[in-house]
Amino acid sequence: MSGSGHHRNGELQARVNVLLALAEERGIVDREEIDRRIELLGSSVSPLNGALMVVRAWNDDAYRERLLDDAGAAAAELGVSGGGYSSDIRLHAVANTPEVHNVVVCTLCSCYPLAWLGPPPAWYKSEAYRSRVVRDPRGVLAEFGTTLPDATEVRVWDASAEARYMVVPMAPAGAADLSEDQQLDLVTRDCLIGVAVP
Amino acid sequence: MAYANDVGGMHGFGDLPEEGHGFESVWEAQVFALNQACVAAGVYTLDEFRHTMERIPPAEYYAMPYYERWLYAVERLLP
Repeated sequence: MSGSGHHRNGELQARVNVLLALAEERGIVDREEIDRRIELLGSSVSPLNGALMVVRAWNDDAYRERLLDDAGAAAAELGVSGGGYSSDIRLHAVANTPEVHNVVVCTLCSCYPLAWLGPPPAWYKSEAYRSRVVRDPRGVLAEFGTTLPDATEVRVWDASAEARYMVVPMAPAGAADLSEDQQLDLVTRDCLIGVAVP
Repeated sequence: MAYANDVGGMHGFGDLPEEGHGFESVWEAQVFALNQACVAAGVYTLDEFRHTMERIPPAEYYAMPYYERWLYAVERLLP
């Protein structure tokens, strides 16, 4: 499998090279801009952006309101641009409460708040996650080690090309006594997707 | 009939895959960035991109690695 995988990679790289040359020839994008976009994905666009937004919401009720009202604007407030694609993509923040737990999926492909949180994990893009989390969210959450009280309602948000979701987890007991850096460490990417809780 | 990508609620896809990195090969990151640039430049819309992927015949769709589906779509939309 891995041997043929290498051959496949060579073939796929060659096909991408053809497109890159074509795009440059047509003046759409040159190799420097491609490299710059890849560099950006590896550095400044990461789940830390979402964590910054969540921690601010934990510590500032007015920001929390703005985040739930217009997450894209609340992200921009903290210098998180959401750039790279198009302004048609809206970010929505959905907040966990003692009564409701939220989890995000894209059943049709892999829509994800990538411009704000970085590329999604491999499992988010898998047919296994996409098919099952809408049918058995508690079962999937349990595989991530997350068990919710029976009384908690689980809401599964199915993202689309236009609407991307991030979960605002509840601050755990004692979070108020931690420094902001310690709070940031609690808000992992999986918490922002809703398969984990801090 | 539903397209192959419409997997919500379906059975039989097995276990969740290992963690994995965002991109496993250079070409994957490049096709990602190229698609982003094409959408930003208005060559085609994100909906057109998705629709093109969604029309991949089911047998081919499931056989293709994730980013090959992206490549398949850009190959049909860019030229």
